[in-house]
Amino acid sequence: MTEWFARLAARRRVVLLFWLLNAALLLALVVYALR
Amino acid sequence: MALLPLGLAWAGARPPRSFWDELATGAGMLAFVIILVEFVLSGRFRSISSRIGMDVTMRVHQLFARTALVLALVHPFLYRGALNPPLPWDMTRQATLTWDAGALASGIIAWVLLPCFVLLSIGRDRIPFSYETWRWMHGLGALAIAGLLLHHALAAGRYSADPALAGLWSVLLALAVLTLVQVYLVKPILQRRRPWKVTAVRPVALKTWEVTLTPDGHAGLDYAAGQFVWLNIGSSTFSLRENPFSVSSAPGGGAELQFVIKELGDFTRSLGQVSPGTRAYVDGPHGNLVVDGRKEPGIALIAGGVGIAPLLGILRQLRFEGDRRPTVMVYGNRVAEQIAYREELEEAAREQGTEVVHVLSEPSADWPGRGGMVTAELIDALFAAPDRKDWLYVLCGPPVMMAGVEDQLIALGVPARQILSERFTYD
Repeated sequence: MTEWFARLAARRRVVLLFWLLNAALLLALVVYALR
Repeated sequence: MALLPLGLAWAGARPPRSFWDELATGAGMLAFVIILVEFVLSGRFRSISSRIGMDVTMRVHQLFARTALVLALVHPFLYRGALNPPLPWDMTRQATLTWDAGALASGIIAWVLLPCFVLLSIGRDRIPFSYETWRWMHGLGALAIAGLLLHHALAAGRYSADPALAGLWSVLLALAVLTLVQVYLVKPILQRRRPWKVTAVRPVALKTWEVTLTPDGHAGLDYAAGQFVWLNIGSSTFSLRENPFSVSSAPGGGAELQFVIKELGDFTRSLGQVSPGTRAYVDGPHGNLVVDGRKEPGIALIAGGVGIAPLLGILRQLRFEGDRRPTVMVYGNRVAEQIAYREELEEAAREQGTEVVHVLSEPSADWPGRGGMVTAELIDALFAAPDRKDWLYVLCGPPVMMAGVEDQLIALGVPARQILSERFTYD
């Protein structure tokens, strides 16, 4: 997994991290709303 | 940072409402905090951009603007509670949403402005405004939206009525304002103490100029080859008439700074009329297209058009340092007249052994070199040898070219950490 990430082009890495962060934000939002 | 408002709202004393009302409030708070964080991701702060790279900084800025936009747009439509005046028995406003027109108005205005603002930014190249006008609009627009959102959060927000969250919004907005003060007030004042003078402007290729600056009363700029600066020629330091340009000179060559500038926009079109002696100002250095300290056994410099500027600086610095590592310079242009510094590159080939590969997409019949684009096939032909997998690759040019080259280098087995790249446009 780490090797796969290291071989990812920088611009793709940014987009991947963007979607991962968005997913984390969405998850946090849902958890917050469900409390 | 983005989750701090949600955490404070959660920790507050107010009992939660329905899932949808909480989701709506949370979306609004996330949108607001992302908008405030965007101020420090503007690309003008070296502490951030030199660490993660200018391309990454700008891409994160652009992408998270979209996230904030989506969250802000859905925010009002997720509410299920009724708009009502406060009920006497509902002290924590658990049952109703605010009814106050003033509190809602600021939010509605920001809600309308935000998509216009993001669309104006995405379509910047297609709108009939100069870059300077756009920058004014972008800075003031962002500030206006943030101010409206602060008013809306404090006046209409249920959790933002609590001192902790209200304080957080105020502090974050104050920090956002400070970023603008730093860029548009403090930096210009500091720049006035370090003026530069244009000493030469000469054509080096078709619609391409070389501009040379000399420090006027100071030691110059402490920079690394390959970095860029925001350059202001002939305007007040408080003017927004400044543009980012890569330095094409090398620090080893002395205190003078050189730039290779192509006629593209309204500022660059008038470069030919800039006379020696004109006052100039420099903000920088920025960017991390830097090979200093890199130990790879060879260096490939791959440029498209005016992307040659930072790579020329790197090549020059390598020559100054007597670096004997093998180097390859791939330089793509449309026609031969666009090739800048042809003689200097030939000299580097003779004296330093640099393998210079010119590629023209529209070559004339008598062009002896390669035709076509800087394609995957060309990268394959030049860099497929196993020992070149360990080289350092430095890319600067149009986004399409760089994406293709980067993908092909990775396909050849070059690790991403050995590929440095910088765009000169952000689409």
